[in-house]
Amino acid sequence: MMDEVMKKELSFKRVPKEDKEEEKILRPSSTFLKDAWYRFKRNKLGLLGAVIILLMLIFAIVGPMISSYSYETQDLNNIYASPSLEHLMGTDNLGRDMFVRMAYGARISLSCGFVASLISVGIGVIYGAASGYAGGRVDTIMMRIVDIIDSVPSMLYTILLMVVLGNSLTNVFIVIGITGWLGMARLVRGQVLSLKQREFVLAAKVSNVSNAKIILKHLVPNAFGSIIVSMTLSIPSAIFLEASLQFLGLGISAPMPSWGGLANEGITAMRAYPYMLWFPAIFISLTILAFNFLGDALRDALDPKQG
Amino acid sequence: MFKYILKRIALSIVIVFVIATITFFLCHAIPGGPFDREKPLNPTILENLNKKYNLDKPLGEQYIDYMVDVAKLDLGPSYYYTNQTVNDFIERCFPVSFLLGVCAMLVAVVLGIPAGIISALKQNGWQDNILKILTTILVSLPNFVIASGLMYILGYKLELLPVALWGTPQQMIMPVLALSAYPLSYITKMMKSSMLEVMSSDYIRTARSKGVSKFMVTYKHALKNAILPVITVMGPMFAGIITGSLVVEKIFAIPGLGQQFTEAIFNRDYTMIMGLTIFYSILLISSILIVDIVYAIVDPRIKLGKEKVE
Repeated sequence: MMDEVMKKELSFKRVPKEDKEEEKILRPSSTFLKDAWYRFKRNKLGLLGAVIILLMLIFAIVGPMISSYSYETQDLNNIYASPSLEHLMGTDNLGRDMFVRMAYGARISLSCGFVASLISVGIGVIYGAASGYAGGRVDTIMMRIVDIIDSVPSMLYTILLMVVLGNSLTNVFIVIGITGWLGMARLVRGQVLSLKQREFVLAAKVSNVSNAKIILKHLVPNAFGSIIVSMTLSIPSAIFLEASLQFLGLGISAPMPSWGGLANEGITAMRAYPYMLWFPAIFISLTILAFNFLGDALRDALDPKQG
Repeated sequence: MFKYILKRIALSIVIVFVIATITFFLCHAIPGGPFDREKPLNPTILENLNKKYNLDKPLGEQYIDYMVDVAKLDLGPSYYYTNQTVNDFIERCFPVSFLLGVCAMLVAVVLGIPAGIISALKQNGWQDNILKILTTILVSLPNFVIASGLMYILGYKLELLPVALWGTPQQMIMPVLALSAYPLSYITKMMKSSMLEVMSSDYIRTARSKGVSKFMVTYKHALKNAILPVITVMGPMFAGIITGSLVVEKIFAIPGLGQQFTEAIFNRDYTMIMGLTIFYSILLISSILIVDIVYAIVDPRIKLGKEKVE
């Protein structure tokens, strides 16, 4: 035993200094996004969420193309038909095909989620970054305004604005967008407050970069991770808000379907034709759940410090 | 302390004033008058109606009148239901909504706090995992999905509970459950993280090392401190319950204020929408105010009068 070890030891050779590998980087250098993707891949629920969202998007885009029905054509000889090969999700009280209506609903609900969140991200990032960057009294006043707006539930002024502006798809986007930016403004302001103390901002200031450019080119990109996470988590609340508005009789006008409207019709017909309710209810819940999963996974992946 | 409370009350009044102003001008920016019908009214009638509701005065004067009335807690007449005021509706419908909201809040607190404690004490155990899945699902289910699901299963399939209206305790069960789902999962999560934080703090370790039993440490030392942060979320939770009640009351045909609000939207009854928005804001802002004061009294670590440390 001992001998063997000795022999092995003796077989060691001295390595010339220049061949020493200790300085060499074995692992290929990784970018921020690669790292994030690596962390994201290991999160099963996050992947599941992404897959569900992808399927919903495909359903929304392809559904109306492959269906031979239109969302508004009524077929009064064929009302409340149960799901069958001919009508995959059955028909409603006016004989309209539920499959194609659900697909149009998906278009409306998903685009509402994306567009409204984009609007609120836009407002929130600009407001928050300006407030955090300005600091001092301006910051205090701007944040006090946010506190005041936040003390009223957004649903109330969403309703009020919808009543004032009138029912249309664009108005739904705009109203949900302009009522949902408070959280984003707080988040970006917090990030900017800590980032603006860093050396690279000082360096930019010294080289006479304008304030607007410092905010947009240096500060906001550094807060990118948390902005994306927060946006992903604000999409489901936009979808939910749209569905609730539709429920209260505000939102897009008939015959254009949205998931909230379909669920509303489903509840009235629930007793005799429960499938009318199940399809929209399950689709809305699944989508919201999927975005919540995706958002949590993205937070772990992009923003490991906050986890 | 007294100064702090006064300051908070003053700020709340300013906020209500701002909200009332914005609401007033938004509602008056809507094109068309409140008495536009499909068949135009006789001009004389219209003139008299406008006179009756003071709509013939300039906007500034109307605004001052309205503000004075709001300050006297008089929210004006309804344009849709003649001879009834917004206050009449609030007096009639608010008790129902209030009962519904309080019950939902109670369910959320009574179930949520123990659930959060269990979740924290058995962290990563099966109890915690089940609760984690349950809260994630409850957060993702919109209240109308929960309400209609309950209605279908308990009301239609099992025929255990009446599916609509209000009055008997059986009729209250489903709306209260539907409304409490979201705050319940919120409180559970909040309680869990707050309990976990407290359980890992130094004084808990000290108490344990001095030989205090695990039971005593958990329920006597930790619980008191862990419950405090839950009080702070009561305000926002209340907002969630109010907005939730709009949808839930509509589904279960409950004659509450939420239902009234929905109807006012449908009828385009602007004074009603305006009045109820202001009423809800006053309600909410005063509840946040009360929560803040209670929190300051309960938690001796907070020094009043100083700005909160962020």
